[in-house]
Amino acid sequence: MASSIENNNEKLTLKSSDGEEFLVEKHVALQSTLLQNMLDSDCSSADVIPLPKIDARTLALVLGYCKKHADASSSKQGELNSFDSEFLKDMDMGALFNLVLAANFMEIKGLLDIAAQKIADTIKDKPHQEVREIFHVENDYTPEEEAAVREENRWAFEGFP
Amino acid sequence: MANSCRSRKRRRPASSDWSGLHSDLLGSILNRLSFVDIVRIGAVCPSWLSVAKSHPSSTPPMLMLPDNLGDEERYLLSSWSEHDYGSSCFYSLSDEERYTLSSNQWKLGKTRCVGSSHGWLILSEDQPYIYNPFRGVSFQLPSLPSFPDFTGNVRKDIYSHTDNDDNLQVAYLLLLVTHLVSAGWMVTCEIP
Repeated sequence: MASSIENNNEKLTLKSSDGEEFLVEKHVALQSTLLQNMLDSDCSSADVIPLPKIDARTLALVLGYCKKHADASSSKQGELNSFDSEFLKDMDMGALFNLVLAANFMEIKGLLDIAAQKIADTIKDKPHQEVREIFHVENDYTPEEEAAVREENRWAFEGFP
Repeated sequence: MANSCRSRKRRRPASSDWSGLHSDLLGSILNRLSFVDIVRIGAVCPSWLSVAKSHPSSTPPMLMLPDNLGDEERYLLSSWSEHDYGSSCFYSLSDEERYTLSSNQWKLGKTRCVGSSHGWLILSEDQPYIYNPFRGVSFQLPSLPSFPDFTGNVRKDIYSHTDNDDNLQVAYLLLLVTHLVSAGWMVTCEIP
């Protein structure tokens, strides 16, 4: 566990929902609009900033993304793009779900964009039954309701199971 | 019918509840999907359906084609003189697919389509009205004399038309439609 005394102008400590603390350089934290606003309004005078909605595994991923983007100069856009496409590549759906919530909560636009794109690419052109399985969405429709939704939009389901 | 009531109240707490995804977040995912994908994912679960139904599509407009023509004449504008929209076919530029609305969904017979905006067709019979073929919803528009003081910039860029008396009317209607779209359509019902 990092000591909270280490907090100074250059670093701050973030605490995940499961109690793990992360010492983060300020310029890395500034990738998050939420943290930026907190720092601007001096709400961060507390030694530790709690992030009660984000678990340690997800926060570590988020901070990895932020560090890469904060450290790269703008001339390295190509490198960042390939980092972004690798970042989510083999991520399971549970981790992706936590990540997109975290990116939304912490207001990290770049991360939110690539996560939303990854989810959209996963959905695209797939039958809804398959989407349900991939995302583990419980089917709340009765068979009659589901048939009604399909019937109402029959044109969109041509050639789909 | 016990079976049809199953699991309605019995949602087990999942670690990642995709069906409970906040509508803003789901919306930013839908922004990256084509219109047909958005319609299809409404069949995944009721909460996605409610978001998908109200989501404004950002995909390019579809081309409306008469379905009662052969493949060759389908693409000739000269074949359109009849204005018979007895059944309807839409060509999507984004995924290069052709979609046909079933006859029980497409309820227009011979009518005059004078324009379109944001997925709504503007149709003219005795009284102008607008119709969303994919939602099967129509709204009567007030006739233009109901708006004696109506002024504003006429958006001719949305729609081109030959220069005749109808032109102004259609342009006004389109402007009205654009305004109503941005007002969420609720206004439509309140207009006398």
